[in-house]
Amino acid sequence: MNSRNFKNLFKRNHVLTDVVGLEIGAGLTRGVPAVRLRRQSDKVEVVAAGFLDLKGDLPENHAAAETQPVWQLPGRFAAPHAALALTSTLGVIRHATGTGEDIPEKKQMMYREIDRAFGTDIPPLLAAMPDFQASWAAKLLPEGRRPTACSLQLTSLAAMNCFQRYAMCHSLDSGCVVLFVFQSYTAMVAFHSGIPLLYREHPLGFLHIQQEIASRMQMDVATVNQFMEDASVDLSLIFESVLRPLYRQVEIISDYVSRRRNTQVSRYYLAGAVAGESYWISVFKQIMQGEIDVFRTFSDLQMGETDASALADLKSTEPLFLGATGAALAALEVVEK
Amino acid sequence: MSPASLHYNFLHESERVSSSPIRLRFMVPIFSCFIAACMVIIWQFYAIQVEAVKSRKTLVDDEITTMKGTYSNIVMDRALEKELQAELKQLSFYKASRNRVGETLHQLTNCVSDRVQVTEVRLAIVPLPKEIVKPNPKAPVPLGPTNRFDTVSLRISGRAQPEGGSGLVDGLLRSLQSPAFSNVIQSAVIPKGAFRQESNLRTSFMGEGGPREVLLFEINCNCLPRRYE
Repeated sequence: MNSRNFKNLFKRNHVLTDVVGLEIGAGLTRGVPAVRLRRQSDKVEVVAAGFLDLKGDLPENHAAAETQPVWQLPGRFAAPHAALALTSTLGVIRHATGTGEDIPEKKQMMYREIDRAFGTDIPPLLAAMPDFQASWAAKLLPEGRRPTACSLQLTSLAAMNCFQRYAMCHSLDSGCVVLFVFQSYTAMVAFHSGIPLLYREHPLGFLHIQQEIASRMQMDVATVNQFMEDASVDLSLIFESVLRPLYRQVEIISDYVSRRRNTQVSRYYLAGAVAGESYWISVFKQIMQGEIDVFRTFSDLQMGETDASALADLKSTEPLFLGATGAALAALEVVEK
Repeated sequence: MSPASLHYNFLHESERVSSSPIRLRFMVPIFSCFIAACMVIIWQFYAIQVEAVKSRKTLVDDEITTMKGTYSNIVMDRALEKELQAELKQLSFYKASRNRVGETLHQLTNCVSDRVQVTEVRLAIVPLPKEIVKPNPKAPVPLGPTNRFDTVSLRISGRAQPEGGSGLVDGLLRSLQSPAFSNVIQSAVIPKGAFRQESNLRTSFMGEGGPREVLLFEINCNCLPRRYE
């Protein structure tokens, strides 16, 4: 027990300062994304980031959840606390008509749900997670060994939290729409002064783009990423056809926010796109007649003692840590009682 | 947490566990029990101690009660013994101070002529004048005689016939100064005026036909002192 923890024992409320964020159910072949963050005064430092060789698939039903693995994290990720971001197909994030609203999914299984209103004229944002998945995830990290779970979040909300911190840091007072690209879906969120005005999901994820390119170009999915970054190959037409419905949704959201919420959307952000950023930007420019900025996961975080090769590797995989980083950042804000 | 916080935490409070290898929820009750057990043991230890002291006190009280009569008797006996010891000591002093003069004075008959009549032999103890000592209440009272020794004087009075009587008295005086009496008499003198002639005696110690005038004499002797040691 170090001196800071010892002092914290006698404090009534204390803020967590060392948290590792883990994304469970990300469906990445590399492993489970893990980011260890440490708060030092008003700055947050990335102590370690990487993919852990753990079985990180969420159970899809109760029977699968009966098998309970126990994780032991490597020393550099062994923070006292862990924030878990769950990417679940059974998870629910949507706007509710009012607080305390029951979700229809509850008829099939037990859910843990939380709704929060961010303004009097903004419908509450409701989030729900299957109870069996939540309790399974909570038991992944056993007692008496670092780390133990202090927070359980949905990946989309964790990613939104990551961007919210960025918006706060850069004082983004105007309206903006952020596209969080995940493996199987894309979440589009309209923010105003860091407050989420509208949340929508589109069933187009990075995997779909990969598969579309692979099928059209008749190549292996594994080599698609290399093609995306290769300037000699033009994938604009494929990207345009795939992204057009998504960007159409972005347009609708912008229109809705400007008309119904009286907020003009002036900026657009792209987060979580692992490859082909240039196509995302060019297609956006072509369809929306505007600019879209790339939101970097570690943009406002200090990098710890990381060697050059690790840093380069981290830069190329940075979007994949969006959920884990967002979860850890959210936990760092928690005031323990 | 800001009002616009997007931290939706689905973790139940019951699922939050400590990463510390020392689990407070186990250690606190264990420590509490341990401290309570320690306190009970200490309390019992002191209770036993107190009980033991109490029982010992009761025993001692009983013993004192039973021995009180005996003790007072012992104290009285000890006091009596001390008194008797003092008396014995004093008596031993007196015994030691005794000067046997009988045999020596018996020889006096051999030294006295027929013409000398000893009328009085007085052995007197002359106590020394007492020292004026400031009484000290703290000083122990001496058990024996207060004087360490007494001077003893021997006065021999008598009469002799006028003819040759002075020589006879001188002879007696010399006899008394001789070594035969040295174990009793230290010095012997005829005090001034103690040797005189007397004529108006009603009867002569020599009988009806004897001379009417006689020489009266007196010899004072300093004897060996009585030492109370």
